[in-house]
Amino acid sequence: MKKLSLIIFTLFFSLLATAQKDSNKVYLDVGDAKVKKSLLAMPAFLYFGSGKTNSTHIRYGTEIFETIKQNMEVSSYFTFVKPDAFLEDTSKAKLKPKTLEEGGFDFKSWSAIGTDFLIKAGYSVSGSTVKLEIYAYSVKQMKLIFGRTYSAKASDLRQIAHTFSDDFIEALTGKKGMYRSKIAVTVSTKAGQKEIFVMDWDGKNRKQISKFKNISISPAWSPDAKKVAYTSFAYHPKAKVRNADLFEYDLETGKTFMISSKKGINSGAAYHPNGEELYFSISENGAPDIYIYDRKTEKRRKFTDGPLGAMNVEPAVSPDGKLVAYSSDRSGKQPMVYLKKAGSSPKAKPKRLTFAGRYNSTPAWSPDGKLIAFSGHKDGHFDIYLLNVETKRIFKKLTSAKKRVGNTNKWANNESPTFSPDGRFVMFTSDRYGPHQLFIVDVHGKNIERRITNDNKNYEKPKWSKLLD
Amino acid sequence: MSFLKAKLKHDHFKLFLVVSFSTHLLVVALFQIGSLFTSNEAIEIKSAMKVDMVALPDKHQQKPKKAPAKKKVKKPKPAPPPPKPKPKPEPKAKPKPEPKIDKKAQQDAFSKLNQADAFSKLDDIKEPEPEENKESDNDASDDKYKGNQILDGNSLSGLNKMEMNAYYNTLITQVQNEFLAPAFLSQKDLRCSVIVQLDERGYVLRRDIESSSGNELFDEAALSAIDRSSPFPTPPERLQNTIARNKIIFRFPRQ
Repeated sequence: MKKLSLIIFTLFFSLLATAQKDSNKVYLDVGDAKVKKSLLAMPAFLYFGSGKTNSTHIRYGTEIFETIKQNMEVSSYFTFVKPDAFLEDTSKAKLKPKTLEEGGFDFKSWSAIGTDFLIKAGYSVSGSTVKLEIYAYSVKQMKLIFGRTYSAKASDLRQIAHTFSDDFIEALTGKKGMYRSKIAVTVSTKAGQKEIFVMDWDGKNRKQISKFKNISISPAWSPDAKKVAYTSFAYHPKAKVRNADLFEYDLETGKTFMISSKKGINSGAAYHPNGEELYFSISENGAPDIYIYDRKTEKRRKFTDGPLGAMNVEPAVSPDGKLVAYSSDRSGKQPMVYLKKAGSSPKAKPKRLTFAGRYNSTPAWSPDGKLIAFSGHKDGHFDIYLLNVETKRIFKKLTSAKKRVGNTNKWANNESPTFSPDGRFVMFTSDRYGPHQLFIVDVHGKNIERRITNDNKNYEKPKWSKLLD
Repeated sequence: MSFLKAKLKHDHFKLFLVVSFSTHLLVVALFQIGSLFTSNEAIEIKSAMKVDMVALPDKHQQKPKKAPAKKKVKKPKPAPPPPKPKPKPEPKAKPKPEPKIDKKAQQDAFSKLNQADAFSKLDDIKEPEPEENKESDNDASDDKYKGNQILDGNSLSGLNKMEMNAYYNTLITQVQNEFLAPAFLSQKDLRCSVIVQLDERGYVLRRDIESSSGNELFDEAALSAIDRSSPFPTPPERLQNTIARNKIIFRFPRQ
């Protein structure tokens, strides 16, 4: 009997214990985070040279420093900590933390002023070679993100800065940067002369690639960025005429080849990502049509055919090579942006993409193929617009600027968009200061514009290359 | 006489007591086990009648041109009461047809973009998200008559549930306001969840990463958002016990 009672009581109390049920789980979904810039501190680079201060060498260090700083500012990820806020004596503190190196820096002196990231570097020059030893730290996590030594010829020292910038951005975001990309653009050199130049994304390090000493226009990058196609009004001595022929310049060999010299204008070249085909427009007797040139067979075939004398120009091939966007006035009124399958017959009907504005041209694809930027004309001036390829919606206007010189009541013309290889920026030309200058604007943010060129030359139809790493 | 009877039946009585007690114990046990499988909501006795409204969905005035109506795919929403079979029909997602270009909508959007002070208005224009759970934009020009919201059907206690949801929404808003992530992570698809234990006053007792985003700084941003939101507002009295017992999991999507 007692045993039974014992069992019963144990059962009873154990049941009481299970009366407390397992707690429920509730899922609450928070929306997107508000974005904040990170604080980046980059004290002046230490000079590891020999005792004497060599002013040339100091200049090298300063140029690398300023280039990295500009790259980081353009990324719009960082705000720089002002040097007068630094707690440590950065001219004395070494590049590594004091736990690793005697006389090294203290993470606390940086976290105390709210620094998120710290870049410390020192450089030396031997002969014509510049060597940079640079470390990037995460102050919050008190750890090294990466440390590397870069070296290059003094004539290439901006490459050091751009390479480090790309490495740093990639380490943080997991995505490749755009600092080692190039721009091919038409620049008006003298009165009546235009030449093609290749330059760094920031407008520096220019190299002229057209040599006809006349008018050279509409450059295009090959997919491997080793060649640039462009149009030039070359003189044909036998026929004794000038004709706008299509040429290709090889950046490695410095040689120029002719691709097409059909009578009329051969221009607006765009490479297919397969590198084998070139799309460009030819105008034999007036209205231009787009042709496809096959590099292997050296043959040319039609891609568009009017209709009825319509003008079809400015082809742009999608990054996956399946579609071609171009500008056409086939609707009978103003040029609009159209879309057609790559390689399709001239009879195939294109799909009209834009119905708004009065003149839409120069379509450009984003590297992920999701967006098309184009310049649209409204109220007497051009601006850059973004179109979502899937939904066909024009959802963003990237530019809007009043003229800063002359009649400041007028709106400036912003034209010829081209995307950066990381898809975060669009470069375009703007005449707000008079001559057409190069600017960039961020695609996903608050339309922050930055001026790239600062002279009184005219720049036309820039094209942004892929990342050259 | 009755006393004698009692004495004679003493042994029987003892047996009777034991049997009675055991039976009562068995009944209690059955109820306890039964409660393991049902909700622990307090049973509110109200004089008012509780009615669940099942109302009309949105009405679309179809224009002559063909615009396939895309139905909303219902997002799975787990709720505090255990899963009871819900009689609500789940609309199937049709394979998405290619959206036709709405000329008027494009022209309206274009004009809108060109209004004076276009820049300030740009903050409001967001990039369209991948079309999975949204209705087709083709219906923009169709007339829409907004129907009532369809409630979740006959869950255990409608009023309590509404109050609970209202409270949880204040938690979400508070955490949302404190959720700051570094700009350089904005292009990454990072997701993490934080499991939080609150007490009856709304104070955070514990918060831990349940599933990490893989990025330390993003996880930290999520935890900071919780820390800066604490203490949360005190929950309504009758919900305090439930809230103290619940494990709240905040899910932080990408920027």
